[in-house]
Order: sequence, then C-alpha cells, then structure tokens
Amino acid sequence: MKRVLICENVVRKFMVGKRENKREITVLNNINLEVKCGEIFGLLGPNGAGKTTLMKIISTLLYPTEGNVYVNGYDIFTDEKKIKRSIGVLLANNRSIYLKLTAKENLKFFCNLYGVQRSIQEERIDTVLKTVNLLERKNDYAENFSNGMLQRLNIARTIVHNPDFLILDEPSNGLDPNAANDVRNTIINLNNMGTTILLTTHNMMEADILSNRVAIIDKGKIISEGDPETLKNSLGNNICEIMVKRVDLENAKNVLKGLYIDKFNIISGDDINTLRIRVLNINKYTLQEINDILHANGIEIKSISLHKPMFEDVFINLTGKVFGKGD
Amino acid sequence: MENFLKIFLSSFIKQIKEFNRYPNFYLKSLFYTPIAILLPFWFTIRFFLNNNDVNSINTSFTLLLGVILWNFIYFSVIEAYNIISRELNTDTIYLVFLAPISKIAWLLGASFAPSIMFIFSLGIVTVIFYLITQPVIMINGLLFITALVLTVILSWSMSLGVFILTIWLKRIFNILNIGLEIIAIFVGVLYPVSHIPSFIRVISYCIPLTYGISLFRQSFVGVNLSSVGYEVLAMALFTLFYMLISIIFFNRFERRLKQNGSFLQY
Repeated sequence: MKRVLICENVVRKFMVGKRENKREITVLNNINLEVKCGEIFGLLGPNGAGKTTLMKIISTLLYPTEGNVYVNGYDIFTDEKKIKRSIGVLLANNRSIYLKLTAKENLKFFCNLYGVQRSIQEERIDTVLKTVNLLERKNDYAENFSNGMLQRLNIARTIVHNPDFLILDEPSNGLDPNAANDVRNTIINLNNMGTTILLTTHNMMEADILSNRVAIIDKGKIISEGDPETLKNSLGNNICEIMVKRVDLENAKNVLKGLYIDKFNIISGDDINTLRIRVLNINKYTLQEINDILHANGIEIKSISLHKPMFEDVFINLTGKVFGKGD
Repeated sequence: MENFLKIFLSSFIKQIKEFNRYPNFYLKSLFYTPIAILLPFWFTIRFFLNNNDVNSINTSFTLLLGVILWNFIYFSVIEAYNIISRELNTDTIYLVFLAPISKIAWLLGASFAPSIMFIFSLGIVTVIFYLITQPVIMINGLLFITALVLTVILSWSMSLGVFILTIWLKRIFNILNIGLEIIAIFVGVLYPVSHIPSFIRVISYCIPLTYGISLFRQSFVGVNLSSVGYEVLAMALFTLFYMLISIIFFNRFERRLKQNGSFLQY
C-alpha cells in the first residue's frame, strides 16, 4: 500500500533558557513512522510528548535537527510547496480563522491561496461547508460562531483544496462533548471519502474510536505502535477493577503497592463518593485474595471484578503514568 | 509571476473586506488624518501669513506636499505593522506559513490595501487645501506618477522590514515609531534637505524618501522630468536596493525560523 508519510530517524532539538542557563533539549528522539494511504493514524501522547512538534515538521513549519521526512513522496527540505499543496493542516489550540470575514469569504481566500480554479470555487466551498455541516451559515461572520463551529470551519479550511492527506492536531481539544462528537463525525466522513488522516490527540477514547492504527509517543519517543485492538488485547482480559470509597483511595493504593502492584489507573465511580481502581496486572493474586487483603487493611470494597482493557490501560502499562495527571 | 500577482490580489481583496469590519480604520483615514493635517496649515496661513500673498501660500502648499507624502509612508508602515500584529495575535499567521504561497506577495497585497486608502484620503486633503488656498501650481503628471509609484514600492520594502522585525521581536511599535520619527528628521519633511548640515545630508541622500519628497514637490511646480533625472534614478536605485535587501533578509529569516524554531516554538 502507498505510504503517505514516512519519518526516518527524526530528531528535533531546541535551545531553551537565557545566556548562562541556555541548554539544549531533545523534543523528538529518533522518530520512525509510516502512515499508509486511506487510514486514520492516531498519534497518542500526553502534553509535552512532542506530538505538535512532529506535526509542525510534517507540515513544513519546522525543520528536523536530524532525519528525513517524506510527505506524499516529497522531501520536506526540497519540495516544500508541493507538500503544502497536497496536505491540509489543523494545528493544536489554533482556532485561527479570519473572524471579521464570513465563512464563505474565509474559504474563498484559502481557495485562492491554494490555487483552486475560480470556476469551481463556489461549488467547492458549498461542498466542504456541507461536509462540516455549516452550509446554512456560509454568509455569517466567523466571529459569531461557537468554538465547535469555528473548529468545523477550520476543518473546512483544511480540505477546501481537496488534499489527500489531512494532519489534525488535537481537533476536539477544548470542545464540549457535542461539538467534539460533531468534529469526530466529520473526521470519519472525510476518511470515508478517501482522505488519509494523521490525528494527534491525548483523548484515549477518541484515538480508540477513530484510528485504524496508533502510535504512542512519550518524552519524544514512539514507545508502541499497532492497531488499537491488538494493543488492548496485548494486556489480556484481566484488568481488575476495584471500586472503593474516595476516602480509602490512598490507603488502597499503598496496600496494592505493598503487593508490588504498581500499575493502576483511577477513574470515577458510580457516584461522587466512590472511585474505581483499574489494576493492570494483579500478579499471582486472585480476586478473592486481593479482596481479602484490602478488607483486612480496613478498606471497604464496593465491588471487585475483571474487565477488558481500555486504551488508557495500554498507555499506563507502557509508560507507568496516569494520563492527564501530571503529564 | 502569475501566482505572485494572484496572491497579491487575493490578499489585497481580503484586507479590504476586513477593513470594512474595522470602522476605526476608516475613521482614522477619512476623518482624523485630513483634519490633523489640514488644520495646522490652514491656521498658519489664516493667522500668521498674508492670505493674499501667493508666495506664502505656495510655500505652505510645498510644505504640505512633503507632509502628505511623509504621512503616506508613515501610515502605510504602521498599518503593515498592525496587520502583522493582528495575524500574530489571532494565530492566523500560521495559515500564511502553511499555504504554498509567496509570503512576500501576501504581505505586499495586504499592506497595499491601507496604502490605497491613504493615497485616497491624502489626495482629498491636497485637493481641499488647493481649493481653499488657490496656490499657483503646474503639475507634471509623469513626474507626479513616477514619484508616487516609487514611494509605494518604497513603502513595500519598509513593510517587509517591519514584517521581519515584528515576527522576530513581536512588539516593536515603540521602536518603529521612534525609528520613523528619526527618518522624518533626515528626509526634509518640513525643511529643504539642502539647508541641513552636510554630515546629516549624507545620511539623507541614502534614504530614498528624501528624493521622493523632493520629486513630489517638484512635480507640482512644473519641473521637467529630464531635469530631475538623477533624482529619479537615485530614488529608483535606492528603492530597488532596499527592496532586494528586504527580500534576501526575509528569505534567510524564514529559513532560520524553521531551523531554530523561535517563532513556531514546540
């Protein structure tokens, strides 16, 4: 299958600090990545993992310190304009659109920037606005749009020149659940129409739902790659979920650490007073034994059961870190 | 070249559309600027000079022409700064860097929009002043157009410099303002360059605007193009030189941004 993106041994270093405190930090460390034609590839990692830096390199905004990147067969060092014509880019935390222009005026401007023929511009603008469900608002000023609508207009902006490769950096970040769902549906629609998508996110559920394949990046390194199901199945079917009272959490964690069980994830319980501890590996212990040990330490257990792994469990298993907490 | 012109035109049209939504811009160019320029000259003639003295009126008109051209450069450069600052503040600058276009064409198109507006508004000021004071003038159309076109190109090269400085240093308004005021001292906005000390004059003659103001004034007193040929040539060469320097610096600067990541920090 044709490869849309190839990253070979990509390293990116930055100088930080001033004068005597100046030092070099490595944000991307030997990244090797391939995205195949027609897939949604999820790049998953916590804040500061290097996702956005990699996106900026792929979209030709930055040069790598070392390594090579080929997009649609073009080299980022020598074929910058060809790459830019063949991709659509949406950067993280960037609702950048001209707010003083209407949706249509914005898209017309980008049609001109990307060389869309004047004779087909009107039709193209209507098509992309329909794709992102904004056709009826095409003559409204962007400044009157909600965050979700702006994000959809931004996606329309990225596809107005009909690119076959889309780079979406945290497209649902900061949106309410409904708006985030709208954006996800738009991404699925675009992929169904044949667009290859590179998606970065720190939303596990989003990566799980949307991606055909994912790579997990942490501290500038790709630590795992594969399709979501295979990665989840690699943990087996024995994720132990223990529901305890919120006040017992610290005590329960200490007891589990005493049993050399140190990879767990905390998620909300049935109500505000309870929490679920998802233990990735219960070692040699049975559910009954864990139940008894916790009980003997004065911890009231609401329930204890085995579950299928979630994507978040995969990340915790690989990095030992809880997502979104101190990352 | 065709693509360059297309981007120039798109950027120009987009900027005009955006200005329609910024009433302050029209207020400044059509109301504030004309009054701020016209009133001092009108008062000077009315209260300090003889209303019927043709020489006084002609001298005032000559001074006004320098002020008009200076204001055109000043406002065009400041407005170019405003455009880039707005793009930086709203993050839309990324969109320009992501697109397969000449950033120079984009900038020139965007900064030409306010320039046209200022040419229009300052033109009105000149006509109003002429109608009120009735100076004796003899316009050399060819010289007038030549001076104006070269000044517009000069404003572009200065805008390009402002583009580089704004992206590099972010907030440069105060530096820019002081810089422009210093240039105003050298180029003879309110006095003939021939009357300033010779060691300052050396600098004056390296600034193309000095020739622009001189040519602009001379185009209203019927001077023949051939008799100011060397000034036209000097202005054209200096403008071209600064334009080339700006383009070379801009291209180097863009490469450097990508290498050190200072603009597009991780």
